Amino acid sequence: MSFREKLHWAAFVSLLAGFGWYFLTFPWRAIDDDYSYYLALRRMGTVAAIVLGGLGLAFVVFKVAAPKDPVLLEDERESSVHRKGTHVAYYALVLGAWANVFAGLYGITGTRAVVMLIATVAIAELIRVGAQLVVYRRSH
Amino acid sequence: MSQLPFTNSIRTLRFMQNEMTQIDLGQRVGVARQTIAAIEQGKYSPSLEIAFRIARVFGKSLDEVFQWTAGEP
Repeated sequence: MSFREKLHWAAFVSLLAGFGWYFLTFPWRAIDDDYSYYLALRRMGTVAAIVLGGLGLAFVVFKVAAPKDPVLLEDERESSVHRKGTHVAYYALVLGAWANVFAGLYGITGTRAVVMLIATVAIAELIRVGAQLVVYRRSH
Repeated sequence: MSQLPFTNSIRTLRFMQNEMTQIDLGQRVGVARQTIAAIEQGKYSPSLEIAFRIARVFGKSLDEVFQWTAGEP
């Protein structure tokens, strides 16, 4: 498994942990309260800390385990893996964007709209990294 | 994953070149070891540039390294 593939696994787990925490511990009962709008945004700071912290920790661990790996530049196969994953995630992002548009038209606004947008990003990111991991495994 | 329409002799050529490792070949060609492994196993179709680079490392022509196996193109 290449260094970049290992980092993709770390990203996938970190994203799951970060957004998992976000949505599982969100105060849903208070979603229509005034303060929940800012809370929804502030909690993204914690998500960023979990994701970046997980990636940073993984980088250090993998670098110590295999010091030569991290200096490897991305080659054409890895570029192709990234493009394919991003291509798949694009559809999820567009579908999510349209869902948000229609939700807005049907009167879903405020914190609910913000959380829907964050869910769209979370799903698209998980699909991107997940698809890249699948392509890595298949080597395409 | 669909099977590639060609095979290759990279593994054989590596061993004929003083058992060159995938890491060595990857460094000379400019790709990761895992990419060389994927090409050898027929799981990844390299660009024409990488194919030429691999052939040049072994001092062979392209069709001595990669062999079309799927009949007519």
